[in-house]
Amino acid sequence: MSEKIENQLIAELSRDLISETAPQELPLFRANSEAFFTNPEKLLAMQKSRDEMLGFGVGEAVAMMTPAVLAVTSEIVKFLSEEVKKSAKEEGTALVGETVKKMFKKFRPEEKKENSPAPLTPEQLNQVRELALKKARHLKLSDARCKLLADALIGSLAVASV
Amino acid sequence: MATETVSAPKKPRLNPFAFPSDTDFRFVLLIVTVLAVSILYIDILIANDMPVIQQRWVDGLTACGNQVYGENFDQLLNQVADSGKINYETDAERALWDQYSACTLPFNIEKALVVLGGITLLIGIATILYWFFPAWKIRRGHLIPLSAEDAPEVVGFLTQLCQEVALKQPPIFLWNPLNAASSGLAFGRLGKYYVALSGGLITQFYTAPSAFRAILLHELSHLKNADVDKTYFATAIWQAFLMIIILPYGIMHFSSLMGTFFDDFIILIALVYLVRNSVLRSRELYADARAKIWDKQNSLEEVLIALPDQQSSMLQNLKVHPSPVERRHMLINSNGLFQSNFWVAVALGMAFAILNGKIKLLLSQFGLPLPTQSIINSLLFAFLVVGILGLGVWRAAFAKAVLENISIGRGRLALGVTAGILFNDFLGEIGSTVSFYWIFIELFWAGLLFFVLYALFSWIASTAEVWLEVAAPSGSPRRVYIFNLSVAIGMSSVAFSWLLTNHWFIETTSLTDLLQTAGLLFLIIGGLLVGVLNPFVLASLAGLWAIPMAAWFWRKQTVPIKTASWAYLEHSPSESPPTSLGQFWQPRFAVLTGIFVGIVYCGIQLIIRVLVRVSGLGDVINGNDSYKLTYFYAWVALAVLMQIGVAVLVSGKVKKISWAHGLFAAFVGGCVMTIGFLAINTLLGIMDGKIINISVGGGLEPIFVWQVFSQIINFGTFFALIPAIAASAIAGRMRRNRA
Repeated sequence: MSEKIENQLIAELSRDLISETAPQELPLFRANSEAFFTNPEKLLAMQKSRDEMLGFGVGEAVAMMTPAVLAVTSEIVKFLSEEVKKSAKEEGTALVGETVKKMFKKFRPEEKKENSPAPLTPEQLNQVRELALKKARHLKLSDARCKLLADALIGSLAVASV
Repeated sequence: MATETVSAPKKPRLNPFAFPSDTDFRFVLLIVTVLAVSILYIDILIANDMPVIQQRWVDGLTACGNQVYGENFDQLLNQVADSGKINYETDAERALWDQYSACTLPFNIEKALVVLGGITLLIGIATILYWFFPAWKIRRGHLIPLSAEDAPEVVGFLTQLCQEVALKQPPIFLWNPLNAASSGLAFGRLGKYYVALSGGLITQFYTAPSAFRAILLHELSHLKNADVDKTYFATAIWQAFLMIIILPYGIMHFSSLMGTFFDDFIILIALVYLVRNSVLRSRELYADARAKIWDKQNSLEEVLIALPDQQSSMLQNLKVHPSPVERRHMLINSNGLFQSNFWVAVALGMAFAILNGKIKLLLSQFGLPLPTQSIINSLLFAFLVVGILGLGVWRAAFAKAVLENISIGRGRLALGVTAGILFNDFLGEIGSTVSFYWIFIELFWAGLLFFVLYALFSWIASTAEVWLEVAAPSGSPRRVYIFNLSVAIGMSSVAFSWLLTNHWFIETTSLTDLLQTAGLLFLIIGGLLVGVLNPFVLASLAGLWAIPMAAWFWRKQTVPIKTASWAYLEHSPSESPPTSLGQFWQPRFAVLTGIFVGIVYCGIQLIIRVLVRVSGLGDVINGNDSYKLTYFYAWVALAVLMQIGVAVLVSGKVKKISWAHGLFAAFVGGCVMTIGFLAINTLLGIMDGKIINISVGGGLEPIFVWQVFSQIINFGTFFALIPAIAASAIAGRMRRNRA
């Protein structure tokens, strides 16, 4: 999957997650995603209070979800790409991007289910959830926000019917 | 969303915007302090680090000295080194000195222009920094215009908010979506203002709209209060001061800074730094006070509660923000914004003390004579003391008139200014041997200064009380306080001129024994007595009662201050229509009592002088100049005593500014006494056949008339002042006890 396509996918998925988990951050999304794809470490490091000397007052930084959502989504997309690559080595990397994309409900049209890749197994879903939680905790999100983000992410993925 | 409490304050807040704010005062103080310290260091830099300029100046002065004084020049230099001044014994010496001064003038001007060049550079750099700060801020803060495309609801809300607060020119809203802090910042330069919002703050528009609104109201209040330019010029001049003055001085004099000059250096930088921070802290309180007008839901208070570092500490003066606790306190009760600050007075005293000597030196380099230098210096001091602290006294007097339990802080301010000057004087003596006599005379002078300042602030407070009632029906007290304070500057500069000239004597005299100290004390007190004949002294003393009494002409429009439309930030609580206060004035009583006492004096004098003449004692007195002088001053003394009596009597009877009525009565009495004195003198002279032409060699020569008039009136007012104030205070207390 090319970087551009991957970034586009991450941005789209993250935007959906933000509108679900922290809609107040939607106006900031475009600027944050651009900064994330330019230098993710820098954006994540910037999440401390940078109050103005002559500003209103030395306020606490607002705990922003957007950088964390972008980072977690990015991690999950990479994980899914690896999983797809492992199971379909012979099909070539060109289709990996499309396959990963269709693993998300958003890109999986209901009427064309038969042509879509197999949805994730419960084990894989569990793995995705654990990974999302781990990354979110690493980014120092609160427990509630970690769960919210992980659940929203899992909710966005297509699940195999039992 | 933030929890909101809907509990409006019970009492309406006093309006701090009726008078110029503390931010304005402190800004002026900052500029004065920076200029004072800068001139001091530029002078040192020229003397030590600009050999071309310094050598040219020294060579010029030496050439002039040799040309005018020849071989005696070294002797003159030694005299200056010993006593710090030139003593002219004869007219010839004076002529030589004038010749020398004329010769050295171009060299002195050249040096003074270098100092002024340094100051111009400092102000120029500060202006450039101030002007380009917004561009730098936008670039460094990664600020971009907040467009409707990014956040349409936010942009719409901000447009509406600007209309609500009625800003003449709405700012340009910028934002940094990557900044997670929840903060806003108003900045800009003359004619172009911005408000920057952080990404964190934008999210609050959705999660805590009332907090968002409160923060924005605070930022827009900075624009409404017009403090943005002062703030950024204050920071710019501090940066320019560090760049142009402190850095070069620190580099050039690093070794001496490590030695004896370190304390001076640190103290002076700290002074400028602390004054700058006080400007920045003050503006926040005023912005909160303004924002509260539109913040009906008390959201600002909620936001302040949520800020970290709630408690103020001893190190608060080092910070550019007041503590959230102080801000909340002022938000609920704005009374604190009307009280004078001791440390501002100390800083003012220090700044003036530093500036005083340097300005004098600069003026002398331009060849201005000593009296002119003295007048300029005293006017400058009066401008600072009255313009900054006196206006603060007006504010406090306003709050006291409405709330009654506010302290005006006259003693605090007088003590602060005196302490600042003393501190600087003693700082200048670190490392040198100071005699006990010098300390004694310095403290004596400080006592006089304290007394004069205390009296001045008391007078301003009393005058403000009556004039505020005149201003109450109008839309603003502005015209009234500007007029009164301008007069106060002129009046107080007369007293300051006397004090500062004496201070110069103390500075330039090295006291080593009791005799010299007594001589200097005599000079200080003697100056007071000689000053009585000065017309400016007469005008100042007459102004003491004339300015407050002049409010009588507007007596029909006077109403209680609390009924003024500008008295409260919120709606005035006054329900009953204001009643006129004109009936409390009693100038007629003062005039009649004064005339009566004056006539009694004339009667006593006529009887005694006729008796003296009939008894033949008159010939004895007229035959001896000392007796004649004593006889003259005995009549002046009686006039003064009777003026004190009438001032006390009237002060005790009248209810409104009774002390001014008392002094007015003393003045009227003094005028009658002067007329009587001159008339009896002339009459007896004509009867004796000594006076043929009364205006030439007779009893009505202009100089004699002036001497009698000025001495009776000035001594009368001067000595009646304290008894009148005391009688007024005692009578007022007795009336309150009876009530």
